[in-house]
Order: sequence, then C-alpha cells, then structure tokens
Amino acid sequence: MRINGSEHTVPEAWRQSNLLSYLRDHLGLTGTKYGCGKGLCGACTVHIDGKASRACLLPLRALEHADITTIEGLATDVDLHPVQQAWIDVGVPQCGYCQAGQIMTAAAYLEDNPAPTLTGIQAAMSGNLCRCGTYGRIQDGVLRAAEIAREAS
Amino acid sequence: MRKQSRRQFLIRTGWAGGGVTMLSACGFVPPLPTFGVTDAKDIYTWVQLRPDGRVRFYLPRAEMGQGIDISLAKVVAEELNLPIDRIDCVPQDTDAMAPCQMTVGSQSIENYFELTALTAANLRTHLGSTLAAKHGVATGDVDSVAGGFKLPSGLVIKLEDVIAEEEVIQRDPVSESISLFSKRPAAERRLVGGASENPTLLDIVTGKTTYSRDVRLPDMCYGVVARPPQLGARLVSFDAAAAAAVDGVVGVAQGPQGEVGIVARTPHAATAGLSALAARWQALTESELAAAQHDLDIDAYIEADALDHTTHDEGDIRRGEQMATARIDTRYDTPMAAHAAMEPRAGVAHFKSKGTAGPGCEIWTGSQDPWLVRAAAARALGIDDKRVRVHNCRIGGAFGGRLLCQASIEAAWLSQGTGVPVKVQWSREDEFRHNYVGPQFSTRIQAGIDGRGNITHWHHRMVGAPILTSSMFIPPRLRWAADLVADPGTQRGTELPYAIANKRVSFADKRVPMATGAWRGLGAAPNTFAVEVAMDELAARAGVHPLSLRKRHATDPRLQAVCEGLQTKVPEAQHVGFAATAYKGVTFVAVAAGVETRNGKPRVSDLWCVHDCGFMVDPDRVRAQIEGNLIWGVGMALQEEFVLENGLAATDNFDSYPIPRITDSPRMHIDLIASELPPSGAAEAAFAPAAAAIANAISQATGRRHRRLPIRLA
Repeated sequence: MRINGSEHTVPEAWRQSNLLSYLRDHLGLTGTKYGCGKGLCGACTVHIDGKASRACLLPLRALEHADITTIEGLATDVDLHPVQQAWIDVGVPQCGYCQAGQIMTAAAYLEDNPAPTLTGIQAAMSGNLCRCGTYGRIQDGVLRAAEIAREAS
Repeated sequence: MRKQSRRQFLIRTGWAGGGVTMLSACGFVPPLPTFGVTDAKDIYTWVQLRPDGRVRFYLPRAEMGQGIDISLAKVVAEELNLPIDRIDCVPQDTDAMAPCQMTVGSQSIENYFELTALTAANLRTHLGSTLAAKHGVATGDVDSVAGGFKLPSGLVIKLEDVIAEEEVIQRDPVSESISLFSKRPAAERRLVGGASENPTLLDIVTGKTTYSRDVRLPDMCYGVVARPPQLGARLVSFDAAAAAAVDGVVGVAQGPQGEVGIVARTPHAATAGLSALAARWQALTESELAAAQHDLDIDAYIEADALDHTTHDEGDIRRGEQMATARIDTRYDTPMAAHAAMEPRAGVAHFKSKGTAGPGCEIWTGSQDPWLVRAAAARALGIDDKRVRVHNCRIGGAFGGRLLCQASIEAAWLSQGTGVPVKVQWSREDEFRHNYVGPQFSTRIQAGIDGRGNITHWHHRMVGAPILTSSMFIPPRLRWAADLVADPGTQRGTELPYAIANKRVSFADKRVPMATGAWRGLGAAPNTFAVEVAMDELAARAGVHPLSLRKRHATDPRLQAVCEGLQTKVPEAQHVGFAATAYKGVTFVAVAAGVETRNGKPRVSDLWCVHDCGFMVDPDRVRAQIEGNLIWGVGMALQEEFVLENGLAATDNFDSYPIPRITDSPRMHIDLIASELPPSGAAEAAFAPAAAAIANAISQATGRRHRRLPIRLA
C-alpha cells in the first residue's frame, strides 16, 4: 500500500492490526486519532483512494494496493491544504484532538463540492464529533477553504 | 544575576519537593489535588530566554482547549516586547517548576495572568539593569523597545544579546512592584486584550501536536489492564502463564490494589494476552447491585428530613408565602453526565530501578494536575514523590474529567513490573465506564411572587452527590470525615444572584456508589437549570417579561446590564426562552434560546448570549469558550444522560451517549462586554444558564413545562 506517497510493506507482527493502530503505533503517524474505535466519531478519518474513511474500522489485510493519505500528507512541501489554512484563519481548534479528522472529512467534501452549501457542509460533517463545540467555526472554515481554493486556481 | 548557578540548581534538584502534594508522603492522607496557587516567589523559572532569541515558557496551566497557551504567551510576549511567534510554550513539568494549582474552575486567567506577567516583566527588568550596568548608564535610561532595549546613545541591543551565548534563567525572586506592560491602557498594549495570530494552530492542523496518547519512547511497549465487568467487582483469578505464552507478550504485572495487566510489543498482542489471561471476577450481590442503582429523589429526602446542609436562611419563608399572590412548588431533575472528551486518556511511563539516586519513574500524562499524577504514581510505585517526574501534554478535552489521568498510573506500575517503557491507552468504553461522572441532581423549589412583581420567598432544596470530595480521591476510611463538609462543588449555582428577602437553601451531598466528581462547572449547570426554570415559571405566573423579573431582582448591576443587553438583542419572536447567571459571583451571563419546528420537531435554531467576564486577555478565545459552552447547553438540555445498568455504564460510546453534532449546532449571536475590571473566567460560565434557556424556549414552543433533563423531543 501507499501511505502519504511512499510504498509500505506491513511487517508480519502487524498484519493483524487495523489501519489506525498501524499508522499510529507502528509508523508513528500520530496525527490520526483514536476516538471511539467503532466508526462513530470521525477522529480517525483518513483518505483512501481519495475518499474519507474511518481508519479504526479497516483491517490492514483489506488495504492491499490502497492509496492512503493522512493529515501528515495533506499539505504539500510548500503550502498548507486550503482547509488547513482556513482552520488557522478562522481559529477553529480548541483542544484540537478531533480536528485532523474534521480537516480530512472537509478536504474530501470540498474535492467533490468546490462550491459548498450550508446544508451540504452539515451533511458532510455530521459524522465528525467535536466535544469542544467548534461546529460554527468548522462551517465557516469550510466556506473559507473553498474561497482559498478558488483564489489559488 | 548568577544564571549559571541557577541552571545547575535546576538540573540537579529541579522543583520536586515543594507544595501541597507533599502531604501525601505521610501515608494516611491520600494523594490530593493541588489546591494552592503558585507562590510569587516560585515563579521565576517559567520564562527563560535562549541564546537564539526564542523564549521557553513553561506554561503554568494545563492546555486542554481553553487557549490558555496563546493567552498567557501573549502576556509573556507583551512584557518582553517580542512578537508572539518568539514564545515557545512548554507544557508543565514537575521537575522544572513549583507546583501549580490544578487547572479547574475557570481560574487560569484570574489566578495566573498577573503571575505570568510578573515573571516575564522581571526577566525584562533584570536584562535592562544588566545592560545599564554594562554601559554605565542609569537603569531608568534603558528603554524597552521592540525586540530589545534602547540605550541613551540610540543604540538598540537585542534581548538575546544582553547576555550572549547563555540561556537566561532568573535566579532572583520576582519583585511584585514591577510595572506591567500587560496592564497598560489599551492603546499602549500590543497583544494583550486584542486579536493576534495563534502559532500553536499550525501543529494542530498538520497533525504534529503531541497529546499524551501520541507520546512514543524507544522500545516502548503497550499495556492493558483487566477491568471489572461491574464496578467494585473483586478479581478472583487469572492465568498469568497462559497470557505470558502469547506471542508478543512481554510480561504480566500486578498493581498496588491487586489489579493485573499485560505488557506486549504491539497493542493487538496486548489484547490477545488479556483474553488469554482469562480474568475471573466475583459478581456483585443482589444487594450491592441494588445499592449501585441509586436514584436521587428530592421528595424522599424532604420527607426523611435528610438535607444536612443549610447554606442560606434569611427572613421567614412562611411570611413570604402569605404575601404571595402566585406560587410555584416544582421539582427539577438532571441525570448523571459524562465528560465524553474526544481523547480517551493515555499515559506513558518509564520506571528505572537503578537510577543515579535509586529507583525513579518518568511519566508523560495529560492531566489537569500533573502534581496529583506524581503523588499518585509515587504511592503506587512505593517510592518518594521526588523520584517521579511528570511531563504534561496538551489534553484532548478535559472538562473536569482529567484531574487524575489513571492510565499514567497504570503505565507506571506496569513499567515497574516488566522493566520496559509502557504506554496505556484507554478505549472509549474504558473512558465511559471507569472514570467519575457528573452527579445526578434533584431539586424542589417553592417560591412566590406578589401583585407588584416582587418575589416574596424562595425555598430551594436539592440533593446531589459529592464533587470536590469525590470518591475518586477520598478513600473509604476517610469518607465519613469528608461527608461532614458541605461540598462547595455540589452547591455551586444555588447561591441566588437575586435579592429575595425570605430565602432558605438546603441540600444533601449523598455519597453514591458510582464515583462522582468534577464535570464542567461542577454544580453550576444543574443548579442554575433549576433556578432559572423556576424564575421563568414565576415570571409566567406574574405575567412579566422573564428578563424584567431578573433585572428587577438582580443584586449586581453587571447582571442587570447583561440582561438589559440581551433584551435589546433578541428579536421579538414566539418561542424564545431566557436564563441568566452570576457564575461564582464573578462572571455575568444572560442567554436566550430560539426554537423552530423542523419536520414537526422542535429544534434549537438560535442562541444569543451577552457575557461579562471582566478584562479579556484574548477576546477570541473567550468567544470560542462561549461557543463551546452554549453547545454543551444543547447537549445537556436535549441529549446527555449517563446510565448505569447492572453495575456498569450502559452508555459506553457515542451511540448510547450521544453528544451534539454539527447538525445540532444553532446559530450563535454572542456579545462580549468590553471591560477593564479584573478578569474572571469564561470556560464554564455560559454553560450554566444555557440548558435552562433552551428548556424555557421548548416549554414555550410545546406549551408544556419541561423540568427534567434531557428533554426527549420525540
């Protein structure tokens, strides 16, 4: 499988693991978070072949040849992803723990919906929980990210 | 300034030793939270200037989302005349600083704003006077300018060039008579009180921030602990040999209370080891189970005359009743509640049996009180507090639930038992099942109002459970003594912010089998819910506007002002509910909730809030806190209820314990009152009245009074 652009072969001792534990505990890519272990909160959201997916539910053996992007691989060497920049501009994070998942979900949503609507944002983001209550700013952040992406293109 | 000797002193002995937690060394007193605020003579190591011109700032508070890092970093930058991005915040370290008060009660700015300003200003004046001496000019002739100092000759010297090539750590105690740049008039301040960039956000949005769950040490292994299927169940047997035989398992270890756990090379090997361990537990008896299934019922307590604490008794309730033309006699109930922070707790520990000074342990934790973690770990390991060093990390939400990070203590004894560095990561289910919860509250309020709109009497009776004297910290043998105290946390919010001549408040803090403790605002939200719904009912009986009733009786003009502000802000609409509070008597908040009907179901569409917390170091973070508090109001009013079933949490993940989603988040309209009055707190104040405002709005919308939370809108 590919993770953030580089090829990986899973060592024997980790084959029984799920993607989240493999990323965090073996590779040290700790930006992706554990929140519930059951796909209920979205904290572990990564992109698999461009789609937002829950890493805590995915056994590694189901991911042969998958192309995986985590929060660590979202920015280019030069620029933050528009969603990351927007999150800073709007001051979205409080504790910040859920925000990698929020950002990955928002980035996948904007990829398919460059002109987001409020109802679209609500539907796309409704599976990502934030206990600090940053939802108002998440909504503003997605709108701002769309603006940044438009300005850049 | 003898900085070199200071640095050696720090490296040699650090700070381990001082403070409240030393009490625990005597054995009888359990490890207790750190109540005291740091003494001004102990703050001088917080701000350190490095040769490259960057400032290392040991943050005296735990950062858990409240933005205290950026807020206090602004204060440091203001005092040193540096840009905000030159300050590197370092989380608390028990070897590098004197004990800090546990990060609770919305007190970080109130208690640490000035201390932080003092230590940074002290460094500035020391550097200034060193420079003056070097150049043979008067100290008063050296001016602080951006990035450094200006000499009378016009020459500008950078801060880091005053004492070149050395880290500057202050040795001399802080002088409290220093003039503080952070307290100058608004026009002269660069950062404090205004908007600025927040350099910590970059690491958060790129996934680089280290929470305790993210800490990794070389050769670190993973620990899991066998947990009882019912709270209080006794461990009967386990098969250590079978567990040790599992591939990847490093060892089996036992904790100080007889707990048993597994350490393995990978998390899944640890899980496999745990199932091979086959721990057996003695089930609770029928009577133990019945006792665990407690339900606090205020009417039973009134009937039994069992409210042991009376906190107010003024005037004559009976006379008030006679003067009333309309009366209420109503009951309000709120359930147990979970913190449900997004980061389930985790800790890393490395125990070394052969340190230079004997056995010692280094711990990485996410705790509101790392000195409590140090004391609890030392007790579990059977070593002195001074031999434990605790590094705090940014916390993925705390809300009162992270006073103790139990996973760190477990990691410590697992490391001691197996000789390897260990990380323990609680699952979401562990987090719901094995921490303390916010208590259930049951309240009866009898009150009346006369023909002129004056409240004639107020009789408030409540039963809740211990919060500050939580069973999490007070061992069984000491609970009888703790129970003599009227728990200040449980009663918070029962002190009325309204002038009523005939008033009586009494309550019981019943110790229940489930460990109860601090939950955002302690008693403030449940008690304010009862008070503010009762106020709404009185206003309705008297036919006066609910905000007018509050304004008329408010004892503090600042409470009147936020009610006034709210009244002009909220559009005349049909289904709006109001509530207000004077949180701890220092932060004044008025909240309105608007309800609309969507698909035949009422939904909170708007929340308005006017908020006065005195001077704001960082108004944007105050606003962010209010946004979070208002959302918590939505959860408390409509969703959250912790349920114990068969001796264990039945609500053990986000499917059974729903919290608000983006789709539940209303439009918010927040006004911050600009003020130069002393700063108070904003981290839990707006939560207190939010659920009441929502309940009052829903009562309007449905035509039926709601007095029990959560309100299920079927």
